[in-house]
Amino acid sequence: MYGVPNVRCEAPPGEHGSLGPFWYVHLPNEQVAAAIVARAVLIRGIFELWGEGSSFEEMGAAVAALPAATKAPYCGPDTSFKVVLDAWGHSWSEEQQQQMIDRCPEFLPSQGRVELRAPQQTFWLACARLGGANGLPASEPRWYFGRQVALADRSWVKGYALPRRAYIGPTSMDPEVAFLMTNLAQVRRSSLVLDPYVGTGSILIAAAARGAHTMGCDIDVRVLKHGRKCPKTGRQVDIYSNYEQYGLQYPVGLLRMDVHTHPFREGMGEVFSAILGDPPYGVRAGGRKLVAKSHAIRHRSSHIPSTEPYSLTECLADLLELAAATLVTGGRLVFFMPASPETYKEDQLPCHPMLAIASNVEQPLQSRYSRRLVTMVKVKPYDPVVAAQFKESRKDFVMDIDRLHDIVYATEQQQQQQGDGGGSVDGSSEGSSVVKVKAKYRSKMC
Amino acid sequence: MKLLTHNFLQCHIKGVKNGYPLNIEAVKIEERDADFDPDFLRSMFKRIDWKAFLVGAQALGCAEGLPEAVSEEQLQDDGFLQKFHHALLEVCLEEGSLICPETGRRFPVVKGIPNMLLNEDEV
Repeated sequence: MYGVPNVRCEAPPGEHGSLGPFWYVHLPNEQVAAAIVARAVLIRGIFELWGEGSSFEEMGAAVAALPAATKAPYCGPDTSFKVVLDAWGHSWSEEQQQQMIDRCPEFLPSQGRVELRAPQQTFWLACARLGGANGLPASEPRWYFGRQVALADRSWVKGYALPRRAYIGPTSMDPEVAFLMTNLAQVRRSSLVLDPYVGTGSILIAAAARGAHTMGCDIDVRVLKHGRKCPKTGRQVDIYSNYEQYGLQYPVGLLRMDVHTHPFREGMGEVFSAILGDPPYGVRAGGRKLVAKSHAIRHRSSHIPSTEPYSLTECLADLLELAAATLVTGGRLVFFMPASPETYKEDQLPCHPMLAIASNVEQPLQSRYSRRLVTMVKVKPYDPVVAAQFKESRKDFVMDIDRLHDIVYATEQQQQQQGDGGGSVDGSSEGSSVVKVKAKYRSKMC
Repeated sequence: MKLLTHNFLQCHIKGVKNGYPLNIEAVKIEERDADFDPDFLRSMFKRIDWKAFLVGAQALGCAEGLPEAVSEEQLQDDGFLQKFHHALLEVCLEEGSLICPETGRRFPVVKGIPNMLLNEDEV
């Protein structure tokens, strides 16, 4: 995004290194680091690493051994500084902290005066300790000493907090996560972003806040158009209210439509910079799609079409197909999919010949239920023949997660029964996607 | 709904061959300022169907000054870009209908939101 291709990012060494809070990143200059930190939601800061080790002494020795030329520009007599102590995963007593501060001059050649409020240089002395109260697997502590290059100020996210938003719903995306999605999709000013399951607009708001033009669709007329009556003011609020609240440009379009039978024109080609979405998982908000039926329709102008449950397998297949056809090459699709730790395996991920997986991260929600944030990149132009062949080859694939509702709400008794082989899953003899999911959501049409 | 969105929509009733572009019957139009971003306009120009855009612009009364065909120079010309910007992003259809040119089927637009759901016998 900042003209730096293929940034290398590495976990620290050790068996559980990748679980630690400090990772290595190779960046060409400080401006790029500052730009990244300014829009990141999960990064605390970027520091120029001066020394590290498995003990305070080892870290200090490494810093001392660093060439003077590297340290000198930041340690002159006219450069005020302070040292921040950061105990990650544990804590230090006042005495321990004072001892560490007193030992800094052993390796830190700063000649300037100490300035706590607005120093010209800030150094960080950190120790990451996994295990114990933080619930991560125990490992040897790791000590780091570095010069602060960019520190995050994430207070801006609070301005988008859901409790203060005009219009939200039960599945509105947490703003921090929505902004994270915009980062994974590299959304920026001049992007055109689509959310195919826009709901209350919680993901699009983040995209619009990044300066992008936004478009949203939903099959549910209530969430799209009717909105709800604000209990405090009595006014009717809807997605537009959210855009007004934050002073964002209105979406270029909100559409009531079915992703499964979408009205985007044939040959539309590469239009969207990014597609961001939170598809219906079928746990709280079930997905719906239109189906062909041959009964007569008496009053066409007021007819409300009936819909049927939309399995997650089919929903994700349609999403990937839409992304493959309408994203610009190099554009990104970022979406959540439910994954129970019991049933998730790599082969459960949806795939498509035009899309490559860029990342796949788990967010635990409950002990038996988590969700995965998947980022896919469109790596080659859409080829309808190849796409159709692929769809044909996958027509019998059904995700285990289409049994998710049963897994999440299974009682002890049912779990025992399932263990005995008397399952609650109904399979048709053709082996296609007939899995009975208890119908527990109200109709989306009214 | 802005004309950028209209440009991407067709009548998707099963069997319809000439469902694009949708004709517009405008009952209520609103104009809202949008940030002028020439880079965005140029990238959108590549992604839209210009003829269909003119159809939409005429229906919403903002086609004046928009040429039948656009040259490379015009894409750098501020005068053209301002008119394009206005028609593409600032004129919003609030109430009315999108109409299939082949079947006459109407897709109503209410509060700026077109209802593109098909009935069961159209899928």
